[in-house]
Amino acid sequence: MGNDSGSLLLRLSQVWKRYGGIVALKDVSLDVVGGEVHALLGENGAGKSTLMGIASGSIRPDAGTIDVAGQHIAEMTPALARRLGLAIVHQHPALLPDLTVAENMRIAVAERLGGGQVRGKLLSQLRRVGCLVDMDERVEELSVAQRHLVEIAKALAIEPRILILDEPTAPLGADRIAQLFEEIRAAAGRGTAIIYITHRLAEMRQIADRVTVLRDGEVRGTSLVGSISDDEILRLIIGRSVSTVFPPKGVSSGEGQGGLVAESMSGDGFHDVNLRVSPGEIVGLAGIAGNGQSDVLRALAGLAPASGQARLGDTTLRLNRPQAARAAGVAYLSADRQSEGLLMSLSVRENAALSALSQFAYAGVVQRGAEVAGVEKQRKALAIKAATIEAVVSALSGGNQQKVALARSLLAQPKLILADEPTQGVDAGARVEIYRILREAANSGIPVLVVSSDTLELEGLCDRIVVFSRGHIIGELSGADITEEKIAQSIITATTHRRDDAEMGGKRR
Amino acid sequence: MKQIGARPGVNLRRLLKSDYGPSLILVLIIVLLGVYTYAQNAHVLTAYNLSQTLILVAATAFASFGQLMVILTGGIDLSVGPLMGLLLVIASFFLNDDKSAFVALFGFVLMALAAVVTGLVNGLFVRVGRFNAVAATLVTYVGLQGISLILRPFQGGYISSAIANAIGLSAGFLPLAFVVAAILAIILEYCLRTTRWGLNLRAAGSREQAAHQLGVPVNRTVFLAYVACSACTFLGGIMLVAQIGVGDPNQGVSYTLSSVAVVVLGGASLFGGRGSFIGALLGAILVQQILDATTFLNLSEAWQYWFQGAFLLVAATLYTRARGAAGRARRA
Repeated sequence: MGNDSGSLLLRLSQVWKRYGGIVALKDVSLDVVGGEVHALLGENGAGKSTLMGIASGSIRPDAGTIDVAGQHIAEMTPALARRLGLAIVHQHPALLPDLTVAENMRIAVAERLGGGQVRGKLLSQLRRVGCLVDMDERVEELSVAQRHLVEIAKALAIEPRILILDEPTAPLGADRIAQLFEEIRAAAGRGTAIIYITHRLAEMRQIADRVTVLRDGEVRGTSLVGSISDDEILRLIIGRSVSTVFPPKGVSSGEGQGGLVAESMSGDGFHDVNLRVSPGEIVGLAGIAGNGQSDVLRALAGLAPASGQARLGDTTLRLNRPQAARAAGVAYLSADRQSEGLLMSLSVRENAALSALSQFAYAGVVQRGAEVAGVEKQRKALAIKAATIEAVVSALSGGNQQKVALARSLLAQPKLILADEPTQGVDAGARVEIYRILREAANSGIPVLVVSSDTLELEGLCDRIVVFSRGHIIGELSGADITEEKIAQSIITATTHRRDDAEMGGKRR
Repeated sequence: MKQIGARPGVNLRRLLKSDYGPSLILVLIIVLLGVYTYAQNAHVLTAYNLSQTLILVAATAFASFGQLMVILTGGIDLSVGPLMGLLLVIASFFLNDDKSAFVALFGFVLMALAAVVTGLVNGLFVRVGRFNAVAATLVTYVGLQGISLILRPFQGGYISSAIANAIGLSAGFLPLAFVVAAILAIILEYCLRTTRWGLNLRAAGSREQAAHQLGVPVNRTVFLAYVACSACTFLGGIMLVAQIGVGDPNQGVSYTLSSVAVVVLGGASLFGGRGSFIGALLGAILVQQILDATTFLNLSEAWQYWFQGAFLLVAATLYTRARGAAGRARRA
């Protein structure tokens, strides 16, 4: 195979994609050259993964063209993409849980099956990325990190001409990241065109030659990595300077009476957690996704089994009882709005009023007038963009859906707000409003606990940051120490101890 | 890694967790039950009884191979039983003593055609119409049963004994049909593990979204699984023709449940993605053995159901347990 360095390998031109009423990609064009590492930056929901889904054939665009190595592709499919030498490492690995590691890799390389040589090649590829699992283990049995390594090895195994990596480092420890970067550089040296999706600036500086920024489905700029500053990139990513996105921080000293006090809480995914959130304070839980942050929130909401003690003001929270938690005033915003947070086929009104029906009821019968007035007031306050409050929730955009979920929490007059990834899949405009709503809730004296994998969001929104690693609290930042670098740094220092996870004993639980 | 592989306990555990764990357990139960029944009543092992039992095993086994293909994709085919019944009814018009060989051949062609059309309709409903598999195949279930009842409101049309004897041909205690079923199970099992077809089948049922991203032609794979299911049912239907010997629209229905039961006993997951043809064959043997044993042990007919139910319950619990923690993590 010749070296493709310098030649145009992938060209996406004027790509459009709509989901219902939401425009996910708006006239997006992207060129990637052999031998370069091209970083694709943008917030959650900016359209990065959709664009790569289109390039790899698993998502069909509404308009636009795809050229691979100068050849126009009329209709891209995953099988065709692979034949053309395009491999993709998905953010959520495209693995088949019931099949073994070897079978998963064989499906991906699509060679004639059987034979020791293929198996040997696949095995050495697995080992090169530092994955030490048994080839005959079912994927279902692997840890999150191991699955990612299998996903990466599977992409490298076809010796791709074009390689797309979608946030490949999120669940990996520092050793594995270093190994991965070596593989990426080696591939680039062979002339492979590499698209590297991330939202970490430091990583982009380390590995990429060029960078393209997406925001709300549009390309906001392309530049050589060396000739653009972090500030400029940040402005492209969020569309304005950081100070106008986030509301001013609270004045609470963090020592007020009441609020949430959790002592030596342990449960599925976290151990011996001590937390304190004062009234008026927003506390962020940082860490790589899946290190126990979300589990703590679920436990506090009574949705996951836990032991230990938690008090909210003067009341002791009864763990393991979702109803008791709700009665005590705990409002939980799920990261999974679609299946857990909202009833997608019901209206805005029905969703919003669900937790507060007793307030609108007289003798057990809901008074429609009071209900409509209450919901309408919240709709205005939160700027929910829906035709009427009778609109079906599934027709709203991600941002507005999240605002409906917030409206429900606020209507129930909560004493504690637990928000898991509150801005995931939310457009930049709605995001600003969600920050404002959370800050206003805090200012009215409600303690707010936020889990986010977006360090920039944590920096801008939170009064205090608690860092998680492998289910333990490993650090805390407050005041001027809350910066993206410091947060990332303490996460990464922690992850160096995660090395073992990808190797032995990395079984789930 | 080496030191782990050297520990026999770990290997045994892995074997039990593999797709062949259930087969091992089934073999054990079959042997134990066989020994016990034999100790109580030696007539069980006469050549005649064995060959009769194995012919019935073949009928269930063919139907369950088809059912397994569909269940591997995460679907289910409820129309298996009524299709067997319809095939019997069709046969009862053409495969009689007074008909020529040409008419009989035409009957077989018609049976095959009915099976293929049923498979195509099921596949279309499920993949093109996007109906839920239970709903879609329930529609064909009712439709097929209706056609059978229109064609043969009452029992009638005796099957030619020459044809019945040919289908039931045995070498001593070993019926040819059972040998065919066993060979088919081995071939299908081999294909399931090593060919693209087998991988695609399991991939589609394991996680459809990922399979699509990996370039597996999910639509085609699932569609063809329904057609193949009906083709296997056709083989089962031929066995039924020899067994029942007369056109009876109600004789096939029970095969829907028994094909699903057998597949589950053999270790298949009703969520799709895993299962074994060898396991299905062993499951068919066990179910028939239970029916047989109750007769030879002089137990009432109710025990047939008690035993089947108990085994299913134990199997479902055991297999789910064996899959253990990983299964829980997947649901979370």
